[in-house]
Amino acid sequence: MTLLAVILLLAGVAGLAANPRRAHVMIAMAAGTLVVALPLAVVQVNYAMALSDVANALDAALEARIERACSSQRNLWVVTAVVMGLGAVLALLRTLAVFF
Amino acid sequence: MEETDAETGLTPRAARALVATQPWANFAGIAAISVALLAVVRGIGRLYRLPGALAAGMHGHATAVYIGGVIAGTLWVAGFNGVLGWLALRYGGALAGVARAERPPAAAVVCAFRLQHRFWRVQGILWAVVMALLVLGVAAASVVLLALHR
Repeated sequence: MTLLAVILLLAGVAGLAANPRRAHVMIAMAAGTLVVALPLAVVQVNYAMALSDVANALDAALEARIERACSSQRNLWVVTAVVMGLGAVLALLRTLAVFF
Repeated sequence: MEETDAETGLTPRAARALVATQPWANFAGIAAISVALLAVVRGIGRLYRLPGALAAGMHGHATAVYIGGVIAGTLWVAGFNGVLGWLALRYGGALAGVARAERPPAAAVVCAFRLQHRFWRVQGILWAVVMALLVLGVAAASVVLLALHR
């Protein structure tokens, strides 16, 4: 999603001279996507690193690292749920726009 | 120091963090399935508006592109979110099994982690497909633009 936002941003900047109105819409969409995608990317990387730590842990450190992985996966699901909730609100607005 | 469960290898703090995920997984699942259902309603709405678009002068090739685009878009968005929502709800259900037990059996914890693994694997595959389609779309659009300006 972050990559998608960067592509949108680049396309918006590139098209600024040709079609400023559409370019501004694309830049705004890129900014919105980044606001959502960046926290998601942070918690995903954090969870991936925690899982990697569990895989590399020695017996003595294993419990603490499993604890950290469980907390990281909870944080990941919190952010995922919020993002999906925002997606549902957006989908509702888009659906209403089709009918009204 | 809290005592680690001998069967699951989870400390009470780790088990609490796992169980606390359940409402969020359920919420994510319900939100994703809502998006899928709304996509179907939106697709039907767009097809319902087709006579208006035809009256406004759209015909022939444009009509076929419009109908194809609406059907393909609806199937993709509904399928993507429907599958993810279903997997998230299954994970939430498995976590409910972990939460119910005083000392969750190892099988319940393993089942929950397996379902979570499936959710992220499917999401990763679907996003890879989205990115591949996006790259193909940008490449195709670039080729068309270059051909038009030549």
